[in-house]
Amino acid sequence: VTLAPSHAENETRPRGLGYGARLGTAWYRLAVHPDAPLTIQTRDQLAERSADGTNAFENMLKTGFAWVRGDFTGGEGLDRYPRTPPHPLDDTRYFLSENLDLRRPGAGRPYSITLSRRHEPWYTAPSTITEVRATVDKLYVAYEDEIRGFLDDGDPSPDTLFAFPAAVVSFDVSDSDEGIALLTNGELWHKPIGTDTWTEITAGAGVLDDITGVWIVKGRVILAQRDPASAVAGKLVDLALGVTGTPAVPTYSVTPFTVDTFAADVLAVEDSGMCVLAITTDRMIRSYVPRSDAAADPPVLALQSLTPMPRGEQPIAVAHSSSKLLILTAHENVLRAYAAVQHDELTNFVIGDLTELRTWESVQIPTNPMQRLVMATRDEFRWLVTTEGEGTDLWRYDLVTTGLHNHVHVDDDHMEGLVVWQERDYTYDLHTDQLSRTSVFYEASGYLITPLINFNLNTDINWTELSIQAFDLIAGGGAQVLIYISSDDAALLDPDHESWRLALSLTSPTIDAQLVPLAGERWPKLALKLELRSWPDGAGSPRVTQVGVRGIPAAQEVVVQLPMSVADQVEAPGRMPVRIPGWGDELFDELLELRGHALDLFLVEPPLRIRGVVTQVAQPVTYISHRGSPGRLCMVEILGDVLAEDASQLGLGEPDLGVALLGVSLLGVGEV
Amino acid sequence: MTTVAQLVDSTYRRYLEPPDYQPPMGFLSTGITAGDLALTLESFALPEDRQLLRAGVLLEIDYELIRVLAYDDTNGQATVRRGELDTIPAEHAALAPTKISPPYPRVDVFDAVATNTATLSPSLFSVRSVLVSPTSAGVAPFPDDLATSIIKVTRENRDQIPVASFALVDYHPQVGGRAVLFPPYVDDMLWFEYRRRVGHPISEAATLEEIGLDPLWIPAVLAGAAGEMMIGRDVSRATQEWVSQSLEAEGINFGQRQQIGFGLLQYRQVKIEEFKREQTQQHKSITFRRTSPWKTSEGSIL
Repeated sequence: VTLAPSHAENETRPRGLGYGARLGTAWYRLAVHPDAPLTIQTRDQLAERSADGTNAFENMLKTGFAWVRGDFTGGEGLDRYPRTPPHPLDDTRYFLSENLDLRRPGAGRPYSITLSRRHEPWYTAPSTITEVRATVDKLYVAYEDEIRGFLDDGDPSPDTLFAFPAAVVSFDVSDSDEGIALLTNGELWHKPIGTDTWTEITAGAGVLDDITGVWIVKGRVILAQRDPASAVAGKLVDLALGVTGTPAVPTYSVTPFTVDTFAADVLAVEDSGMCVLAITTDRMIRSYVPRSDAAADPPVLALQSLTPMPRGEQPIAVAHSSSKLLILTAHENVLRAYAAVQHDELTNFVIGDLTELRTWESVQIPTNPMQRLVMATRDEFRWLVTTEGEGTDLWRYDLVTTGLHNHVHVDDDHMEGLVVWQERDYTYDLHTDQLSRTSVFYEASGYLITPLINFNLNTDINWTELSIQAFDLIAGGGAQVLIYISSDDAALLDPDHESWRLALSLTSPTIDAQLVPLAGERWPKLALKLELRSWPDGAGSPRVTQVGVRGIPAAQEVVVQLPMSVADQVEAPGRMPVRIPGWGDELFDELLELRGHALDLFLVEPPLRIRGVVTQVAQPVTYISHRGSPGRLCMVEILGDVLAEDASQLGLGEPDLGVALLGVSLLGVGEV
Repeated sequence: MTTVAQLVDSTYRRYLEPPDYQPPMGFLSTGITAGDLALTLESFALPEDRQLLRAGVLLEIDYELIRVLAYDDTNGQATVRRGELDTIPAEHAALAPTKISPPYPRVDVFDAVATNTATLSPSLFSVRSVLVSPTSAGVAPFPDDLATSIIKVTRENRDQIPVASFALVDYHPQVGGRAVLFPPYVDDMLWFEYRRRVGHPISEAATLEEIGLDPLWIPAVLAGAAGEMMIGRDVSRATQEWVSQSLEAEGINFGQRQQIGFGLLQYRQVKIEEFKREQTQQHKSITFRRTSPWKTSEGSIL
């Protein structure tokens, strides 16, 4: 914008010369009078943003913004927040948690956050545990050359015990309690449904040699065999054919059916509902479906499709629930979890929709892939992830919300096996004789880190209040619900980050809801760390149903309407008015050029500095001032933020006149 | 010694351009001679004052009015014509205040002051005494052109005995100018006590003494001069209010709708009446006599 040469620019005493406002670099005179007051209104930005109100948890109030959560079933997995467009799970997601139970509540119960129940040793086997399996009613623990069965999930008392002639390498039981066991001497033993009797399976010479794994899937006994003639050739064998005896008490014999052969070893066989899946060491997941060529023939497993994993990743485990799959892959010491879908016949039973859930680095990859690494329940997948030197975490993937949770942490670097029995998680360390399970006691402490909340504003926010609803605190238990705050991005993934500072601590069981004012917390974003601590004896956990924070944007978005003098007459203190023909037009042209420009507005009275944009320059109007002289003004509207209200920063001297004296009719909160 | 220039300054200061109502002005960057036809201004009171400099505008420096013929925005230099509107080109010093389009040129304000001084008479007069020595029998030169009538004549060497008969004439051949006639037997020095009208100053250098202006009458002169200058002008409401309040403080209310110029003239008249009453009170023992020796009823020449 080119200014007239006689325009005041670097004027340090604008008040003395009668200037009222500086727009950009030039000073202008105001024509404030009762019909054209100078107005400064705060813009109700909150109301305007209500179109964004799809999120019931982030309310825009007249007095600020509120972020409140009680439902964290979306799990972790926020890579950034807020996300545009928002992910449906974002409203219930968080950044990080440990030892908190964030599962969906039962029907009719409120969402709540409690501590997870801790894992405690339950059974000590006579020697190192080889494998653990569960049926609906029984839990089987294999160690050395014995398999022990438990019927009761109370105190561990062995129900059955069977000793084999050699140590057990691998065994499996079906839900209907049929069992198969592979011994170190190559023998294959079988336990029919409804009995506790194991008998050896006999077959022709060489038929059952070089078995590497056994599984019972869809009522079939599946064997993985390695070709003795080739170190890299394997095959999948179905023992279902050639069975004699009654179906309930079958006798497997000499003619197993070779389902498939491949240049790889089999790591795991799993039922996926429609198919039998086999994970092979050539990074494939093979899908087999029982088919028969003629109605009279019994169906045999036929290979339908091969699903390769991403390059470099070896699938090591797969689990199935409701056509949904959870696949773990390993690459060096990186473990990845994928959610996938078992497609049907239309797409040849391939595994599709592979979606990476999370990556863990520096992970101890399970040394015995034959273990059940992933467990499926009716609405969850669960698996263990052991990080070197940091213990093991039990992760949950909720099939309903698709939320991923770190449920509980166990200080054990070798925990590899997981079995779910009677609604409890049983975990075991392949290096020890210890079988642990979910206790009735709670973890001592747990935390959850919310996203950095910024209400989609790119301005500073004055954080004014924390809110919390907590129940089940115990008297004398000390601080049981704590909230820490931080504005540092690095704190999101580090619960021990130095920026976390305590802002709220609840100790009393009688105060369920708390509002705690925050003072001096002015940041563009804020994250909360909710920490729960159990009762001293671990028998109880505080329960939090809601945690929230309220903030008011610090930047005052204002609309300033300036009656700018565009008269030929120039008036100034101590001066007789002087008329400069054409001067008003020149000023108006200048103002028109400012339209749409971003600039700083300095107001002399009230002393304000506003950074914004000239949104409107109205047409000039003529008026009669109270002094009797005709004047000409045009209203200029500026939308911006108040930067400073301190007159000393503007170099304007002390404000000595009341705002109203200059016709400022409104200075405060109002809707525009 | 008060001069008329000070009365002009007072008129500006009090009415026309009070300190808080200054006209647009700048200052001469460098001094100019009477013949210079270019000048440069600096230190404008308002940045916008520079906008006033354009062809045709009159500047006032001291008593001279100067017309701008052209103005160069880049170097701030104005090409001018000197001695406009019957003013006299003169030398002006550096930093001389330069009014731009002055609403009240000083030459006019001086004229107004002069007029309002002279027209105080005949309502107001001063009384003086002078010692005169006869040049010949019955005739003595009278040294004051502003004298309007003789009040009393006394003989200096005869114990101030009044002379009964005398006359003031504007011309007598023996004197070659104004003269006083009295009986021929009066041959000693005479004291003349006479009334003196207020003179019309012809320059700002004239003193009040010279023009016969009693300092007490200055308010009437200033108000009259300011009133004359303001009549017909667009005087700002603020100035009007200020003047009105000033006058009301002195008990003079000239009405809201009356022009400020007329109000000031009315004020002048009020002051004159006031001074007149005071004068009457002061000189009530004076017996006014006709001064013509030929048509006197109080005495005769012989």
